[in-house]
Amino acid sequence: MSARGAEERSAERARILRAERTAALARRGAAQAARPATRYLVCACGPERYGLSIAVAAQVLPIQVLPMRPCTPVPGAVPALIGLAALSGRMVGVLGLARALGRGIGDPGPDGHLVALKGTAQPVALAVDRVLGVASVDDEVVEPPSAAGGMGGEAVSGYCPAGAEGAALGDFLVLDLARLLRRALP
Amino acid sequence: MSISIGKRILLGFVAVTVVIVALGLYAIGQIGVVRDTTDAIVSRDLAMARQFDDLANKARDMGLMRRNAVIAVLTRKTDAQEINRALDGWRGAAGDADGIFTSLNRSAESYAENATSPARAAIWKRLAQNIADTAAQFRQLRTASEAQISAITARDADAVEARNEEINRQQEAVLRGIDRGRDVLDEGIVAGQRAVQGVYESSRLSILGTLAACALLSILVTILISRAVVRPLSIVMDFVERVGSGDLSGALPARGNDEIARLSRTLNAMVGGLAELARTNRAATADLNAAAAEIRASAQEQAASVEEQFAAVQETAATVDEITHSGAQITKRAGEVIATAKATAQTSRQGLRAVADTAKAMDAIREQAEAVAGNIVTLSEKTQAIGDIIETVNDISERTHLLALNAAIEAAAAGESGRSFAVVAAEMKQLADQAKAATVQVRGILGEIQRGINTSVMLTEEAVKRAATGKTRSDTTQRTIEEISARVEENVQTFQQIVASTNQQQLGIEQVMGALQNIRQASQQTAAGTREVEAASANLTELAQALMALAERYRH
Repeated sequence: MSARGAEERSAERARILRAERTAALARRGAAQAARPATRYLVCACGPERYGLSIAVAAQVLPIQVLPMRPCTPVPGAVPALIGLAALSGRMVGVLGLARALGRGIGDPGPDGHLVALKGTAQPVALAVDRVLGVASVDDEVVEPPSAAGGMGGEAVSGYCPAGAEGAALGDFLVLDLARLLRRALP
Repeated sequence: MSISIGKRILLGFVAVTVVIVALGLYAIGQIGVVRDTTDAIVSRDLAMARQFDDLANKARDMGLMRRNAVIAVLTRKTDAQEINRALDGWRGAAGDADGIFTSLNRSAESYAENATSPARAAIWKRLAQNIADTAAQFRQLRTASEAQISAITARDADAVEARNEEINRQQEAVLRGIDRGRDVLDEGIVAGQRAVQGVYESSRLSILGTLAACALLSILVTILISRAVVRPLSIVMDFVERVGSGDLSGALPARGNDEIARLSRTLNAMVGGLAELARTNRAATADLNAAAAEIRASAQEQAASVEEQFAAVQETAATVDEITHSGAQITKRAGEVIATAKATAQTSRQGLRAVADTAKAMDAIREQAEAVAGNIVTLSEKTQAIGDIIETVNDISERTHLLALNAAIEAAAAGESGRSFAVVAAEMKQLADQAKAATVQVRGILGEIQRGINTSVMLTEEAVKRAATGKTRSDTTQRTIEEISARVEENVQTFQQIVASTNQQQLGIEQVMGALQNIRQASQQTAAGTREVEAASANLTELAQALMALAERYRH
């Protein structure tokens, strides 16, 4: 009796998933045709969420799956640099996003995530509390930084309010990586 | 002056006594002088007067004898013997008279030499002269008489007659001389009386003077003693009167070293002691007053308590009477209790069997509860395994999440050709998120299951413990009921003893009644004694107040 009930519930769930997927696929085609959009990796850092253009991300990986010594502190380094880590055989500098933004809320714990960046002068990874997901937002929706209230300072280039199309993960601040790195790694 | 008053008085009396003794000795001496003088006058004058008398008698006898002889001759008597006898007598008398004259003359001269006064000496000389003259006349008379006697012898009457006139005349002259001598002697006696009178007068004057001096001396001594003794003594007397009237504040001046000063010092010390005594006395009297009041209050309390005691004794007597009645009821009830106790013993044996059954049932309950506990532990282990599985699923969903992210990144890197892949990656991520949410729910449910299991384990353990406790209590109950049975048996014996004891108690209560009677009499006596104590304490209080008033007299 209960086995049959579970079987019925899984069948129902699969049906709902398929229907949602179909609807999403149908929306995608229509939206893309209408306006240009940018995809962001939405990261949680303390109580705030920050959006990072997916184009600069190379890889997302958990902090705890790094080798034995996940982060080696570097004496005399800039304040934003947590330390050095070996990533895929390369030495990568790990920047704390909270440190880089000047937010005094501490480094991410062992269940945090690292976002390896590409296109930078030296190999860099950003340590965040969690990468929540990918948000595809129209460029028109993103408000200029003057309206963002300066949360994160000059490294913030815009604000995506909640309720905007594609911002299902809630509102977030859009980070300008180049400015962030200039500020963190002078 | 440092001479003590006693010595002063002694000195005064010694002086007075010495004067008096001297006066007495002097008076005795004067009395001796008077007596000696009187003796001398009396012995000398009387002897002289007696000799004068003898002389006069002799002269008269001679005249008489001569006249008788003359008469005999003239009458011619012839009796020669009678005449001769008269003549011999005459001659003898003449010799005696001559001797007396000699003796008188010698005595007068010797008296004149050691007379008591010049007057007496003159008298004695005149007397001696008179005696000498008279003796000369007597010798003439004798000579003439001798001649007549010769005539008589010759019987010559004429010659006798012729001479008779002459002889008579001479004899008269002699007798007159003797009378004159007597007169002189009388003058001497008067002079002697005067001398004695003079001695007496001088002695009286001197004794009176000495007496006056003695009286003056006594008055002087008395004044001195008065000054030395009476005035200070009056001061002391005034002080003592003040002390007697209660003034203890003063003090006597105590200078010098005599008796008054010593008396003053002693009195000062005594008054000081009296003042101290008065203070102490006043304090002690106040204490005594307070104590008497306390005693009185205590006596009144005691009287009240004695009355209470009396009432209590009455109540006790009534109670003991009730006890006597209730003792009989106790005996009756004890018999009933014995019967009831035997029934109780029967009931408790039935209770023992029931308790044994209960203990067996408790053991069964405990075994079942232990089995339930084992099953629950097994269930808990299974739940732990489910938790492990859920952890694994969670891990998988986390990895899937990252994988979907990386897939999205790769799809973005692939550009337009990766667009479909991006959709698949998004679906994957959504599935991974849903799986993660499901694991969270399962984990919550598992937590609740675990808590329920823990509660069940605790409850089961509690049930086991309670079953064990019930078993223990059943055992205890069993032992208790056994003890109750034994006690009931004992109670039966005890009640039988109670019946016997109650009978003895009745006897004892009769003795108690007698004792209560004695106590009642004693209480009455005590009440009487308490009343006396109360009266005595009232007297004591009055006495203490009188003492207080008395002590108030003394100022200090």
